[in-house]
Amino acid sequence: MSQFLARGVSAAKWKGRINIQRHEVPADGVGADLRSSNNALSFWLCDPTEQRSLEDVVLVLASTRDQVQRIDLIWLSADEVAGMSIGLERTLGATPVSSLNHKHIDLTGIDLSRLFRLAGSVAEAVEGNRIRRFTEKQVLEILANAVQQDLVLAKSLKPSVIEKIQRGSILPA
Amino acid sequence: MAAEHKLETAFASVIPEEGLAAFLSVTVSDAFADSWRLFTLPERALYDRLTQASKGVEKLTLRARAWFADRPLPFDSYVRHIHESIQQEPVLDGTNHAGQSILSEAFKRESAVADRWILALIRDPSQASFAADILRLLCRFRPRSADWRRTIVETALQSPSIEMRDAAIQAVESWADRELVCVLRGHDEPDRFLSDYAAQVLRDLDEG
Repeated sequence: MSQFLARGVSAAKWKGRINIQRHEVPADGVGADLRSSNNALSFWLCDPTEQRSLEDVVLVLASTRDQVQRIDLIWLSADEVAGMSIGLERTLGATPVSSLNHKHIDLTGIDLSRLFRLAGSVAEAVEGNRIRRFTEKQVLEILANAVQQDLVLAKSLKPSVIEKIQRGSILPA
Repeated sequence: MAAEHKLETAFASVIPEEGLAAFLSVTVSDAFADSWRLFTLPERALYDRLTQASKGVEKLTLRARAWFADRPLPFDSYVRHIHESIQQEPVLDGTNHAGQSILSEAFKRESAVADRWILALIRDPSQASFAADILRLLCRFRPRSADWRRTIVETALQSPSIEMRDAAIQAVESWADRELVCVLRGHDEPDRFLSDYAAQVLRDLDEG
């Protein structure tokens, strides 16, 4: 079975399509979500047919955020990405969820033409059915469960995130 | 004009302490308040220069800080700062943004103007993307009254822009006012992705 690569995006920036046609790739989405560093972009291996697998990606993304807010995930086929001559490099993720950091993967060697193709795939994922939005409450529950199960230490989360988990009475204050 | 001239002289000074002392002598002048309006430097930039110039002169710096704390920026300056912050960095869910504190300060100091500005922005279809970013920043604190928040959400939900309606639903999710639940329940969302999102938000809020 093909592997999939997930990344958090801002769905509305891809769906907005101000002054462009439906089949065109919105620059607003690229500017918001595909800002590379070292010509690489961070993705996470996942199996989108498994709810738990998608929740794992939500957990690693939420664990590094400043605030608990909704998360939009898209996923692309690893084969499709490799077909764009983009490198797939397994690197350890830098999140407080140590048990999941091995699922991190860098897409490397992204030049403008590869970025264009990648952006096209992200746009297709958003318009198709390779996107899932987790609401603020769902993200909060995933984080709180992970803390309760010792998958992540509460003290490694940002103060406002800890506060929100505690305010939700999911964790003892 | 004398005060204005002294102020310019203060910041043209190559000796920080002297520059600061000159500035503070101006601030105690009655004429200063009037001449201040004619001065062209934005207050925030002036404040930055002042604090930079006054390093090591703690007592005077505190006095200067207190002076600035009582004086709001002109509202146009807030708008300009917010524009710049969004141009420099996109508003991403879950990530702090420089625009948050600027917006918060604008509401605190110029609430009536901020109210009108945001409502006009949301009604302006030519600024939908920027307005949606502003609304997404507003979701991060709890501005104004429940009635005002309701007006904002109702207006944003009527927008033809999917970005704006998305931000409106997020506002309901984040502010979680009971009145907003009723507004969202009455909204007929044409986009499938957003209607699914709205339905989930309503379920989340119903569950408490």
